[in-house]
Amino acid sequence: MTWAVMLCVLLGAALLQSGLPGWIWLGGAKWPFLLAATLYYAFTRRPATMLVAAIVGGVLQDALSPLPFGYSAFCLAGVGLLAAAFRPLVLGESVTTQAVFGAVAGAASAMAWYVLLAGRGAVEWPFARALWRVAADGLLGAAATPLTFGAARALDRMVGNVTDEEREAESWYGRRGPA
Amino acid sequence: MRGGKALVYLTLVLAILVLLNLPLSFSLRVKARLRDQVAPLRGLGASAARRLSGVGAFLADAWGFHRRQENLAQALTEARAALWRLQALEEENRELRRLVGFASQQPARLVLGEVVARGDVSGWWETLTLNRGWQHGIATNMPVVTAEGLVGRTVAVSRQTCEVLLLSDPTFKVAARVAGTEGTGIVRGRGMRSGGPPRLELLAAAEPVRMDYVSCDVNVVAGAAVQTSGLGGLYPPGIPVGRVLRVARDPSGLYQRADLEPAADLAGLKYVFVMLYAPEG
Repeated sequence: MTWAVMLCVLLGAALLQSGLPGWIWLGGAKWPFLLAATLYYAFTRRPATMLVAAIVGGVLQDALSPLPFGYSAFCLAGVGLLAAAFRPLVLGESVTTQAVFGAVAGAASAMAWYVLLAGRGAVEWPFARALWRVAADGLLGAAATPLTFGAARALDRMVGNVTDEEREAESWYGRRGPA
Repeated sequence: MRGGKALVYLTLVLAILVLLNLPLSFSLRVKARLRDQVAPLRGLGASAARRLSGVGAFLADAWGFHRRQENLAQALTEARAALWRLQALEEENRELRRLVGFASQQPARLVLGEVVARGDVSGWWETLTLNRGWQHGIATNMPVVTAEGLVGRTVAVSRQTCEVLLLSDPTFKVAARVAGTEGTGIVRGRGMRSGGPPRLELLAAAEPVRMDYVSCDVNVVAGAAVQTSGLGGLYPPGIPVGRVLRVARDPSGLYQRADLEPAADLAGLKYVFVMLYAPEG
């Protein structure tokens, strides 16, 4: 059921991210629900599961945008791996932790995308506007991540995914020890 | 066991590398197929957003409505709600008739498309998604217009939908001519700015677009109309692009540049036409 729930979470995140408008005061930044979903799987599942979520979410994001194929999967996987590395050191259940990770991940991924896209000549933004966009992505990441965690956790609980998978992931991290 | 985990990670890393290096034609086909699968759900979202916009108008008039409701029976309240719905339908009907009249006067065949989503999912480009695709004869790099003027061009087409890059996007460029003169140049977008009438989707208007490389010998005045020149073959000549707001000499001194107010209202698009115009060559 984990995979079915993951597909629902990612599809819902992609539709919400696509449908919600990008506000002009935030540089047109979109709510990063796909990034937040990747962070959720980084915090609650094994890294392999998170990578699958990053790849599927990245494919969805690239398909619904002019982004070259693979860019989003690459950025989401990178952000997810970094979050997974810090997971043993933080309290993943805390809304503050989720917001902070969402903010840092949002800003970092925005900067990564800008560097990749500007390098290809796919966007022609002045650097000041790009910085504004990085800050806006951080802000929206901080807001979107706790919401996504709550919704995904509720869905997992509804189908009974939470207990068994979390126990397995915790034991996996317990064997490895803190990073 | 450890070897099995390593194999899983290796497979996933290889999958990412494969995605990054897919042949362009194959990745475009896959993207088009995925967009078609998601298109019906995005249409539902756009429909819900339109209904929400109607509720907003009702709440904005709530104070006046409550004053009237003191003197009116419940039947009159229901009749007024029905009248609002009918007025919205009538306005939409009037707008569509105006667009059909515009379409019948054009030499190139026009395909009417409804805007089902605004902005791409990443937010890095100014785009629209229309509910028309290659099954309606649409291909990439076709001009997109309204009765007022140029809106953009198609950049990605699937069977049922297409993505339109807007005139306001900084990567959009079009060869243009100042009407009534020999002055030609390149018009490019400069993004959106805050302002304009409030809308659920966006509190924004298009920044004035910039026309560069206009010869210093050409007398360009404020208020002059700018149209597509047809040079380059991507756009037919004569499509209104905008009106000159101000003209200045470029700091290099080699040419003039003009700021243009876009002819089409890029922030409030609901219906647009895709011009089935094949590029030359």
